[in-house]
Amino acid sequence: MTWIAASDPLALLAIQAGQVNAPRNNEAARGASDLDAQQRYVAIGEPVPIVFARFRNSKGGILVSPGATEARFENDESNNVTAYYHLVVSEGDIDSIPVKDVFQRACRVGTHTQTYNRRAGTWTPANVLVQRYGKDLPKAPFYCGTIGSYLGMSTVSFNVTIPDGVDQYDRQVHLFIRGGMYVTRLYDNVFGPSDNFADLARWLLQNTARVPSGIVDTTALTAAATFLEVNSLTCNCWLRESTNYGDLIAKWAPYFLLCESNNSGKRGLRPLLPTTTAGAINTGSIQPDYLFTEALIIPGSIEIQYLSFADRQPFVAQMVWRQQIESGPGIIRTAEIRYEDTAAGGPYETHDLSEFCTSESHAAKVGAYILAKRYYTSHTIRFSVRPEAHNQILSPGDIIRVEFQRVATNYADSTHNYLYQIERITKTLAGDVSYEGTHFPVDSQNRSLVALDVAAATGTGILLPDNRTGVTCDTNSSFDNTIPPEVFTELGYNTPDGLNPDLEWPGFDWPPFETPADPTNPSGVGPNELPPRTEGSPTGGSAPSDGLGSSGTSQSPGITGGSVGGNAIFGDTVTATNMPSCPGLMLTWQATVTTTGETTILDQIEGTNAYTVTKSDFPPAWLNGSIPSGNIALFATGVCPNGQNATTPYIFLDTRWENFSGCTKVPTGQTMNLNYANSAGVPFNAHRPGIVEVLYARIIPIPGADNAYVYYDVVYPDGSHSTANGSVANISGAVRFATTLNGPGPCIG
Amino acid sequence: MGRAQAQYLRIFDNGGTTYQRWQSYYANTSVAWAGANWLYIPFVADGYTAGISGDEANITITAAATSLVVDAFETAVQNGRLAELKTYEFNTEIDNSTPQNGQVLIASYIGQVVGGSGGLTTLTLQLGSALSPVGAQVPPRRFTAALMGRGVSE
Repeated sequence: MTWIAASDPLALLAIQAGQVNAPRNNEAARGASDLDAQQRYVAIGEPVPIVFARFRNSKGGILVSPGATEARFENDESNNVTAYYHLVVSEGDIDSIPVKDVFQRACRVGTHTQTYNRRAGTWTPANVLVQRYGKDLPKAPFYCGTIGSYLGMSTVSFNVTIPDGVDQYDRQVHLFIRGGMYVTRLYDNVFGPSDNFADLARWLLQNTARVPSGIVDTTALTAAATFLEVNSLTCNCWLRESTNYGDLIAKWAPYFLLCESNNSGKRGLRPLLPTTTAGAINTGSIQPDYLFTEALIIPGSIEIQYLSFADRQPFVAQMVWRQQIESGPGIIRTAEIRYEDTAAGGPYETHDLSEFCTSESHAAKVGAYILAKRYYTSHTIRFSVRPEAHNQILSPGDIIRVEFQRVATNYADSTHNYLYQIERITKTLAGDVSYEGTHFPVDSQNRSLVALDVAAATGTGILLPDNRTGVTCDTNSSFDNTIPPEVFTELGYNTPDGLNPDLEWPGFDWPPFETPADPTNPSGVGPNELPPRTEGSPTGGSAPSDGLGSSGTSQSPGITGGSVGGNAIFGDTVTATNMPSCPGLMLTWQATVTTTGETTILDQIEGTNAYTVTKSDFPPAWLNGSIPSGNIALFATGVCPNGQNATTPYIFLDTRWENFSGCTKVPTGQTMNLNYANSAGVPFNAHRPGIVEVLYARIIPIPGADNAYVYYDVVYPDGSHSTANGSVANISGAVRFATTLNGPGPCIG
Repeated sequence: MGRAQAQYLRIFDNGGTTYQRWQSYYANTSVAWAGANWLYIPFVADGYTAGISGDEANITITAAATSLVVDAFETAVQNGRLAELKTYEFNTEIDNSTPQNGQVLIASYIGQVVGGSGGLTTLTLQLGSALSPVGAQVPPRRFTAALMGRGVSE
């Protein structure tokens, strides 16, 4: 039978095979910022933006211009206008934004507050401008939006007061982001902001394409991340336009000297250059991974395609990059790369890296690669061989040597002896293996010529001043590193102090939980006074004024029993309330990952409105740490036989915790362990041997704080009790809290 | 030396649970290999290619459309299960009735069961990734009324 081979790669030049990007058409750099524009408003259906950036070593970060989803406009007696904007900055959690990094137009003005996974600020969206005597009525939108849930997003509430007659309250707000969306970094395994393109690719694979982990080549991605880190190829970008995953990777990866790899079906990234084990560009002698000679090559199978003269002409690679000013707009820069004494007057090929590249050296290395690849690479090859050990040794990207003799009558013999980088391997049932490779040019010491040129390429090191001049319009200091208090609106599932009264334990004095003061809400109207969320969907919104739901009275469906601030932890028994009253009510409990919309049915129960949150009901992939705690929402839908139905608002599942209250009957002589490690890396281990009964054991996080309460009561063989309670610090970020009672489960016997 | 190749197909989920183990070489018998039992299902695999550019074609598996195969396929597609295809080469003169310890793995491929087609007698499964080559997927989420309210209109 015949095996399908991909399209003829011999017709592919490097530029077409994904190694070198095509030059850019004439248009402005994509990384440019337009400072003095009208504030942009988000429309439903737009993609939720991703800020992927990390300011470090005085480089990186990005100035973003987020769209507003809600607004409020009011004017005082003097017709000074105060504008409030609710801005969605990024998917996921990001670093806190200090005062000095917030701008309207080019001016540090206004106040802001930032939060994650909920709405920032407590103001109500509205246009409450009134006509003041002798003044013009300020212009502002009449439809100012309604309150949303903002699940899984980083949001900012910004407000500014502009004097009468200065119509600048409607100008665009800009934020300088020092630490963008948190991911678990491949290079150092830390959960935080990243500027590593391999981290972005992995996140997109997992969250955009939902590619199962089994076909994600984590090893290749980690190697790629190491390569980027070691060679300082960073990515500071703001993804806000819809695009295809494959297109994005194909377009951007070569600008990080990477290409996408597909190894035995697994997807990943791979450096385009040879690397050392530490990830540096290998400028030493290259040892091929395998030698192919006539002994293996099937006669007549060799095909060679030479690159055309036109494709090897010298040119100037004009690399556009972004000199990112700290706490300011980027300056679009160009680096012109050419070989000495060639193409002094062009032609030019422009490659726009300004969306993500903030390093001149990065741009220079990519330019050098594009030049060198076109200059040195002379041909491609395809040949077939018999199966041997190479079957298991070689994979795409490896370096091979192909050596064979040309013997001609009446002429001296000659040898074809070149190194190649494998582009593609095709295996057939007949047993022969087809290799396709690109000429891998080396010098007399077997050093890669392309790698040598790329490693030697550096920028000029010249940084332009931002040259900001004129009378300053800043009202906030450019040195103000203050992080404003977090003020937010939560939708109906939390009490004002963040604690659920059901959690009151005898002997505990819960510490007061202080809601930070809201400068825009001095009257102290708290989030508890907002109407409860009423839309019956897992991603439901709020605000009865948007007409999406009922008025949220006490008869509305709800969920009780979540033991952590109204939210649930494993082991909690939660109850759907105010469900339709009918015989045969079927209750379906579901969970949704708020960042992806993936939903699973946890249980379907008839005859009870209660459900015990059980780990095994959830897909294991949700609980392996890839989904941050708090990104899983629970809700229930009740349906009567006559079709009457109701859906509860959601509550969140805090996967860090388990509720072991009520566990009893630990066999005599067994042990109970309460184990976890806190975020400072200090392990906590309360090991109590010889327990005969556990009355209860519970660890409860304190919402909004970095502490938890530990509480348990156990009975020893002699009848004595051992109890413990108290506060344990530094729990956030920590930590899977693992508690075991004698092995398989918390409740034995 | 008589050379032959045997193919082994395992269908499993992302959690590691294996649902099917098939082999297509040892006719009408199950064989033990790699610590597991492999059922004889006549199938052929097509299109094994690995490349540096990441745009390689999917593999297809063509099998007789028995109820076992159809059920396994439908369940796999519905649940996004994975399939691992391995091809081993061995010397038939040493042993042609059971898998040999020294047989050489010459190709392997892991992919999702992403689609298929068939007729009365045969069924063709496509292995690959659910990553669509077309359509906008990045960023993954879009604003909805539930997420952001009705929005601001000027």
